Amino acid sequence: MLRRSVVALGVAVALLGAAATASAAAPCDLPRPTGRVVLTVTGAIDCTNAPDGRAEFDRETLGALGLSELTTRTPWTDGEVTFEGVLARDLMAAVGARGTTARAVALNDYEADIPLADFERYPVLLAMRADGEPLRVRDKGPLWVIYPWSRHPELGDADTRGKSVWQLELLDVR
Amino acid sequence: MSGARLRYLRSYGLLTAALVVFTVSLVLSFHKVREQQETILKVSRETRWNALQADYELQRLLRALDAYALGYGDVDREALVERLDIFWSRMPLLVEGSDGELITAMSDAESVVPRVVAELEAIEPDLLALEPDDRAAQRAIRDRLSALQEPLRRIALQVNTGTGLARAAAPPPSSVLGQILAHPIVHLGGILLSGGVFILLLVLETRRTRGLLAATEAAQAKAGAAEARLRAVIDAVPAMIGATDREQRFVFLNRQQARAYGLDDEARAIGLRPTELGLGAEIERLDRRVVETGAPLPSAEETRRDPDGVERTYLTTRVPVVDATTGEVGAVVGVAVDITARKRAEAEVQLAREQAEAASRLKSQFLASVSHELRTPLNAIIGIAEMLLEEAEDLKPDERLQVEPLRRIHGASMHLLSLIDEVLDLAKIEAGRMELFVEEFDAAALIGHVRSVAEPLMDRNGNRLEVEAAADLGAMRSDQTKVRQALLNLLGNAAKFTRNGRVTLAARRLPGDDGGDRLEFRVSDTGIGMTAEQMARLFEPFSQAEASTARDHGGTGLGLALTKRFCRMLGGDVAVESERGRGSTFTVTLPAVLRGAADDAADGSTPGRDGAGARRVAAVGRGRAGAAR
Repeated sequence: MLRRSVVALGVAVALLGAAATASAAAPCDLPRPTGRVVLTVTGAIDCTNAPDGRAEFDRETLGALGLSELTTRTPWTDGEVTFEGVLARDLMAAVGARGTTARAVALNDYEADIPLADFERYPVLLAMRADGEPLRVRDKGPLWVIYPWSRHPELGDADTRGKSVWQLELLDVR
Repeated sequence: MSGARLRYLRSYGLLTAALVVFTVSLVLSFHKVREQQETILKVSRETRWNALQADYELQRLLRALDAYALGYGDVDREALVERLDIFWSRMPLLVEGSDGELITAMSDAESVVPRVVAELEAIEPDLLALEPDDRAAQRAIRDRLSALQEPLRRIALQVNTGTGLARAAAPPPSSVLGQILAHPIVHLGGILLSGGVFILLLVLETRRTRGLLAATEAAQAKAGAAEARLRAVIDAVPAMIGATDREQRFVFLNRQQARAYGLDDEARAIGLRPTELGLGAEIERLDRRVVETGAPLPSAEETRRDPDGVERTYLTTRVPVVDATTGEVGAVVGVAVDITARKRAEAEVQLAREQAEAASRLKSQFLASVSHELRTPLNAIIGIAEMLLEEAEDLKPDERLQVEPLRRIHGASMHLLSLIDEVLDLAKIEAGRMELFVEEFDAAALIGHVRSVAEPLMDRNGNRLEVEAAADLGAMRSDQTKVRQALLNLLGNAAKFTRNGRVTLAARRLPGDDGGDRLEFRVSDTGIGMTAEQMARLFEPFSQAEASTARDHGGTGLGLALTKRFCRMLGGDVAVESERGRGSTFTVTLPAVLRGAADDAADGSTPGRDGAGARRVAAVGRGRAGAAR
């Protein structure tokens, strides 16, 4: 009985500590985009750079969050492709996301809910380039949510495919 | 028969072929359907969505183009190009990745997509250069884009309907046969064809069965007719035929037997025992014996009282009917013939014969006694005649007037006596009273004696007697008197029927072939001879070859009959050879030693009935005639 109480107390302390760190580590200095806006983040975010609680990014400001590479197969391409882009978790950190889910909306009006936990568990990439080439809209750009399928076979399910939104233009955090 | 078998085999072959086709078609169809089902499972909603989405995005592009040109909404060039891009982005999805693989398999995407992409690349500059008010350019672009609708819609249709599924499930086989076999029309055709053959065979089989049924009915009718005919024959057989089972119950009986049991309908006896039909227990007992022994009972006479109270005699036979499978006696067939009438007739015949024999014996006794009674006075006459003759011979010659009449009286009386003696002898033989006196004597001496007696007879007709007696005749053991009498009879006959001729008596001893020597006496003459017919009746009593001969030659006709009977009594026989006009030869053959005669002699024998050892008189006619006595 005593031991269980100690464990519960430890967990509570750890959670409080984490929450304090997150809110504390948000400098919130998102630059205003100068080029064409490729992504807008709305909803439960702490950092915004546009009216109505929006955080807007062009290719430049997005790339400034830090570029990563991910080489993987996808259900829609032949062979392995090396993608380059921003880790979704970095973006979420940058906007100070407070929710559990991000609703992803595409140019073609497609929508899918992505749990933010996915971004923590996997290096989910918001890809801007494929094999060195920038992703145009006709190439499912400008942003494409890429999961590491080659490394994680469990991601080959329809649910994950549904969350792998291409032509992404909006993330609404809830 | 062979035609029917051929037809049978042919229909069987057809049936088998139809079955094979049916099975193969079914399996192929089943396989096809399963493949399609598997494909359907593989083709997810995403895949279908992707196929549809290309066309959908094209529509949106076209609408955006219209809006841009007409200036409604807020479609600017950038938005228009974005629409183009979005539509464009759908193209790789039709050919790449796992979905693309499926869509390609199910549709023409592989050829359509590059064409569309090439067209988009061609359109893109025009679209970028398109001014909102340039209707002509807008219409041209619109037409070119619209032209893409048809192939894209077909892809969507192929992916979302069975035609594409079928293609995906079974990529077109390379071989012609494979293509034919994979075609659904072939499966359907196979099923329909084999079904048709089934129905055809069913119809044929029904017709054949109907034919067989008719044939069976005809055969049954025929069998029924045959059975009725057989039944009629069995009923018509003038014998009682019945069969009983192992428990002696009737399983069959014909009409004759039913009638004998007083039944109108033979079926009423089936299942009943003979005793239950009022018959004696004997029938059951005999039937049971056949069941127990398994052996037939030979023909036997059964006398029994039938249910109608009449006693009848049946000749019956019982035969077991052995069951071929068990080897046991399954039934007993009895056949009985009513021989009551025959038995009565036989009894009557027996009685008649006994009566006839008794009468014959009586006649012989009568003759014997009459002959005896005749001889007594005759002897008196002879004696007195001799006495008177002696007295007359003593008289003086002139007083001898009575001598000749007395001689005649004496001669006639002597003749009469000899006749009576012969009749008496024959009567004795017929009556079974003739006795034999067997003794041993010298055959040569017998011949000498016979010669001395016969010689005077020869003189009467001017004949000459020649005797040829073999030196080794030796001794004989027989009835000397009867041998002598037989030979004298034959010599007397020969003398009587020969004039101025020669009579030969030959005697010789024959080595015996079975138990003792025999003596052969041969009497030949050169007389008138006989025909075959005459010879046939020669040795019968009171018979002469011709009635006329009696008148010409005298005699009783008993001589040869007596000779024959004497020879038979002595264990031998007499035979004759003759030819009309060429004389006759009588041959007497007798055993040198008469066996068993010493014992039998006292009782004598009855030649008429004794045929066992006696040889028949061999009347060797050689187609010629002979004389008779």
